[in-house]
Amino acid sequence: MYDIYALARGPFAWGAFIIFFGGIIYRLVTTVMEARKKDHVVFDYFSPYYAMRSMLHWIVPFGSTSMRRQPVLTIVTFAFHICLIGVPLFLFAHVILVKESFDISWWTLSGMAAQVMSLIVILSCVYFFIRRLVQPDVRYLSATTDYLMILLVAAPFITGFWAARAWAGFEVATLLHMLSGELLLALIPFTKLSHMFFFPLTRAYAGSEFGAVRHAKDW
Amino acid sequence: MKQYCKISLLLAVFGFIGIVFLTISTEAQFHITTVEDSAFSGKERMKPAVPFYHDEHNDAAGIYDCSTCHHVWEDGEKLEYTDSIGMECSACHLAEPGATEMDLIRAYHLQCRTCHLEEKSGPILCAECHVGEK
Ligand code: HEC
Ligand code: HEC
Ligand code: HEC
Ligand code: HEC
Repeated sequence: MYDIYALARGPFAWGAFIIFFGGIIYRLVTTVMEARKKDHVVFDYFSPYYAMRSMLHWIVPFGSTSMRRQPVLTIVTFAFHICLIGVPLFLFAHVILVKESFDISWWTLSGMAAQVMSLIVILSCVYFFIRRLVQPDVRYLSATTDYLMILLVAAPFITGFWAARAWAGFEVATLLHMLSGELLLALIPFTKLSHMFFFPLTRAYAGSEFGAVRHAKDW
Repeated sequence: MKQYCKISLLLAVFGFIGIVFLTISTEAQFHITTVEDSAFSGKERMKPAVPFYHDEHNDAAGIYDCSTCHHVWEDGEKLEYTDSIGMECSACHLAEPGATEMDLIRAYHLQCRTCHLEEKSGPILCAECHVGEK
């Protein structure tokens, strides 16, 4: 227990963050380099204006037609992403650990808000999972890894909620929480979860192509 | 005359018992069972206070040097044979300019958890220390 904790808080945490940030840089650089080789016209047509326009439409709730066509999915998706990013960054327990290690700290959520937001993430994952299972078109497009991805994202939130509530077995839950969170961080750059940092590139690409070349909307 | 003797003896006995009770109860007052720094008492706590049976804890952990926890620092060095018994941790760890509650919590957490990790004995997780309802 003490050894696993020490590992999870020391080397594994370092490893996870280094792989996370290093992986992001690696994926971005290699992708841009590949595009230069295979599809260099993209760079000729690249337009900051159309790139921004596209990003804006896709980051604002109901900013795109496909979002307006699926209101429930849109609401769940936005709530999910806000909580998914907000809870780990602003959870008191995380900030105090950072404060202990590096003597820096920032604003934190109240315990109540954090728990409600974690529940939103967990329930959203249940929704995404069921949706993949029952909606024929989505089911057709789903591979096993897509289901695993949802479990991977939900795991730190389930175990974290468990730890925060101090339910029976919270010791194991806390260790699993730390390990699953680190695994998730390390896998983000190399899975579909990379849309986290590819989002601007994807939108810049599609936005420029549709705006500058086809003179059409891409939302 | 005998009556007076009896009464004064009785009074003396009661007085003695009274003094014994008084000492025990003041002893009990100094018997620390939780860490409850007054810095956290003015406002709503975020976490339940930490059960900490001061003397039992230090006996079980084999800590005989009070300055292990009640320390005094000078020029970045911990002083030997000097202690700050009777001062709350917040007396110093909230006193530095710019210090916030986060600094005080950090001091408690670092002192308590670092030793437990080194000794591989004692609580290290949030809910192991902050036990029970708030
Ligand atoms: C080794 C024991 C220990 C562990 C582990 C521990 N704490 Fe504490 N914590 C303390 C002590 C001691 C205090 C001193 C405050 C008091 O009770 O007066 C404290 C104070 C606090 C306070 C300020 C008082 C309040 O309730 O507002 C918060 C918040 C807190 N801890 C949160 C946490 C969180 C979150 C974790 C897990 C990341 C954690 N603690 C882990 C011992 C511990
Ligand atoms: C493991 C760390 C630790 C050790 C070792 C330790 N103490 Fe303490 N002591 C504390 C904590 C924590 C408090 C509570 C501080 C508070 O509530 O602000 C405390 C409180 C006290 C208090 C009460 C202070 C007050 O203002 O109410 C006295 C007296 C005291 N300790 C004496 C001693 C003596 C004497 C020794 C050595 C035999 C000793 N302590 C060793 C941690 C320690
Ligand atoms: C007389 C003032 C004073 C008191 C009382 C005091 N400290 Fe400190 N403490 C200091 C100073 C000064 C330092 C060194 C400078 C720094 O790191 O802030 C320090 C450093 C520390 C450190 C980091 C250094 C290390 O590695 O040991 C911790 C942790 C700590 N104190 C915890 C506590 C706790 C817990 C208490 C209460 C039981 C306490 N202190 C009581 C003055 C005090
Ligand atoms: C210098 C080392 C050391 C420091 C500092 C220390 N502890 Fe401990 N603590 C131990 C050890 C060793 C044990 C295990 C004792 C045993 O074998 O039962 C322990 C056990 C405990 C336990 C389990 C129950 C008990 O009382 O035995 C609690 C609760 C606890 N510590 C709280 C704290 C808090 C709160 C602080 C900070 C104010 C603290 N400890 C600081 C060494 C330390």
